[in-house]
Amino acid sequence: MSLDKAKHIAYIKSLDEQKQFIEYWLSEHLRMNGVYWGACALFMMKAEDEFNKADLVKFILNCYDETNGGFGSYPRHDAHLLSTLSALQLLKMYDCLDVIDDKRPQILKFITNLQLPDGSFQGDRFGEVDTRFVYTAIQSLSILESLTPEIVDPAVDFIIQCQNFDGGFGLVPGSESHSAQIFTCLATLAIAGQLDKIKDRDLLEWWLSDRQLENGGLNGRPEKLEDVCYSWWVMSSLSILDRLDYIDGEKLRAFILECQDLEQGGISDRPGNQVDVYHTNFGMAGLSLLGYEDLVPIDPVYCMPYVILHGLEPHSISSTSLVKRLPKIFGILNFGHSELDPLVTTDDHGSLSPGMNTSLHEAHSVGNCSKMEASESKYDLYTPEAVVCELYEIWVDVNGSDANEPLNIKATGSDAPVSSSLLNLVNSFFNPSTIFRFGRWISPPSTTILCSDNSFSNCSSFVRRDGSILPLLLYTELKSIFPSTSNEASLFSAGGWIIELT
Amino acid sequence: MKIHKDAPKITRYRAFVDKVLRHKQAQLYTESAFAETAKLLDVNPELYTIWNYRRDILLDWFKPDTPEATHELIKQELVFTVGHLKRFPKCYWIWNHRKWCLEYDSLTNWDNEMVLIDKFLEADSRNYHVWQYRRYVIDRMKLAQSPKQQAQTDLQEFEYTTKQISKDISNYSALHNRSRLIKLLFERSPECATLFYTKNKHGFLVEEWKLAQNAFYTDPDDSSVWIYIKWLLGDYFLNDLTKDQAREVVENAIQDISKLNALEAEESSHDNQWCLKTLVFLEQQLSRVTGVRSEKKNQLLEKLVQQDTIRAKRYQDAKD
Repeated sequence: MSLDKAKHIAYIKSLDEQKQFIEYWLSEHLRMNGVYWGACALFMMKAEDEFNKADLVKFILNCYDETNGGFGSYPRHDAHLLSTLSALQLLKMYDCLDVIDDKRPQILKFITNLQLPDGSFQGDRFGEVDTRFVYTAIQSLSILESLTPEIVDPAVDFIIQCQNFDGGFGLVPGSESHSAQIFTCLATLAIAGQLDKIKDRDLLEWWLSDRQLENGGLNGRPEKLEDVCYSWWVMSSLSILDRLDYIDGEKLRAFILECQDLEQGGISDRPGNQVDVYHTNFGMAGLSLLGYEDLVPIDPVYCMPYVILHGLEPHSISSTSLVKRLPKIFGILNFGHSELDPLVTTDDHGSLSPGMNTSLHEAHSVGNCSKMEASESKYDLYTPEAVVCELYEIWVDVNGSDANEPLNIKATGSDAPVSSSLLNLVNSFFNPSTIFRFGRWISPPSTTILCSDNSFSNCSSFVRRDGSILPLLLYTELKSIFPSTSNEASLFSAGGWIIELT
Repeated sequence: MKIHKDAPKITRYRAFVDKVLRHKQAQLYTESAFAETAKLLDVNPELYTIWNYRRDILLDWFKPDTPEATHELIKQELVFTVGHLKRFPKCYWIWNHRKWCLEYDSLTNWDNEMVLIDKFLEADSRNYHVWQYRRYVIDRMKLAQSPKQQAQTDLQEFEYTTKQISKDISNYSALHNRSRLIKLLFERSPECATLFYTKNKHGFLVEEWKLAQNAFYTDPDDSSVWIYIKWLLGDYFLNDLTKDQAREVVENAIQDISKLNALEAEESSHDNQWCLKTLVFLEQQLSRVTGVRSEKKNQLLEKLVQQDTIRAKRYQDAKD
């Protein structure tokens, strides 16, 4: 069985044509979320244009609540954090956040005013507290690029208090572990770049993988029934922890596909049940995380297409593009070796040479970076950002983590004119006091980042095998500095640059 | 046909929603407006905006009143929510509304709340919202208590989990709550609970092991107790035991679980995976206590790789 995309697209489109049924009107309180779930599923199927963007924007703006400053779920309904996040996600995905430029101050005020002294967030002014609302607030602020340590650090402290005896997280401190709450907590920590604060990681990983039942489906708590939506809550959590392979992906895939309605389209919670857009989206998102059914890869933290957030597709370590791309990165920050392994660099289209296996460890030696060879394979999911993280680590090894002097980078051995902005950028990057943490680059007052435009907005953090986290990004930013770099060769051509560890 | 049947319903419903929202917009805080919110929430309890409106009306009515008058209003409101909760016991907004009410009441009869909770847990002993509400109510009650009384309340709650578990050993929600109550009681306990009071973790562990044993003998395939055992023989307890005590406790557990697994294997001709998984953990703990590398751990993991294939990768990763 495979995913019947045509049917699912038709199903999602049909949802707004149900106005002759009472159920349509009884679900107004969920409409904004519903539209987001539908849009997200369409994006995964590369069918986002099936929604009329102008209508969508109109609907979202109609849901803006002037009194409270956030978005409600339906026109004239009150603002709530849940619907506000969905609205922002929709605008982000359809690349039209600018339509709310005039409302930004009010939206920010709405969200930040809901934070309580203990770092948690209430969903609206009536006091309901839940880790879901911490996540929705933090992601909303991240989308708006307005996170600050003053907001994030207390929120992280609150999240940490919600961890339980079994390693999982609940709704508030003391409440039982639940897969969906675990997702909201881990994703918050991931946005904050503080996944290293998790205790008992092994316990948590085992608890999550024990959610898979013999029929392939996942449940949300021990001794409960399976449900398609946990394909997202559990799998995104495992993905954030870099443990997607702790369950049987093929069996889960088969279970999700069994839940399709092959006549009307859509996916249900369990085989044979009534479909809905919530399960359609989260079933599909689970398949996307696992790399099945040729779906657009989804980001496990933001639940939006990865490429929209990071400007790049994620690369699995087993993909050939991994090894192909590495020397190019090293080409930019080359540790004293300008010659790269010709086997790799020349092989732009064909398969890899025999023996050129896929571990990052080997890839390191391919890159001819003697210093790098010492590191072990730490990344299952490889992105170029990982390499930059590695470079940062080496720098810390040499200088100590509290060193204040930035790395001295010199451009030598290249005929290419030296871009001072790149030098500054890299210098700033290697200064540990300018580590990215909060969904944007936080620069202490003493540091000047010449490229201080919005090119720092596409960021991600990175969890290593040993559980520690290295926050960061960079490849996309480098690309933005070299204007011609849609052509990767020009990035590569900067390969004569040498970083001297002084 | 559904479309024909729905058409008049839709017209009526939309007109009604529109009317209530217009009243809300106009900040109309009258008895009749309040009654209309009730009518609308009867039809659709998920309309959070209407719950909000209801709260705004109540806030307006609370203003000049005495605690007694507010209490009367809230009492009625609590009755209103009970009706809804019976129909929709998993609706976030209703539980939230009930809590909101209690925040404004200084004369709440908490015993009534506990009676209500017990009834809901009888109907569904795993209802996430009800357990959550129970903890909330207990915390609120404790606010008015002396430290001694608070410890007594925790002990009662601990005993409640014992009751729930003995009724149904697969009640993971009860085991969860038990774990946090145990921690609270080791921090502060009434004198009558000697093991807690004297911070005798070893003594407690020996007692608690009987409960665990009873549970895993009753249903060896139920995951709840196995997860609980991982905590029971985890660092929280072992760190406070002497080396000999810790070693003895873990070795005994290994022996008991191995025995159970042998019985299971005899009956069904294959290992019990929860036994194996727990034994892996215990071997790990044992080598942590003794400093000697476990020879059995990798064998157990290899068995699990073969038998619990859907999680093979995690067993591979756990090998020494």
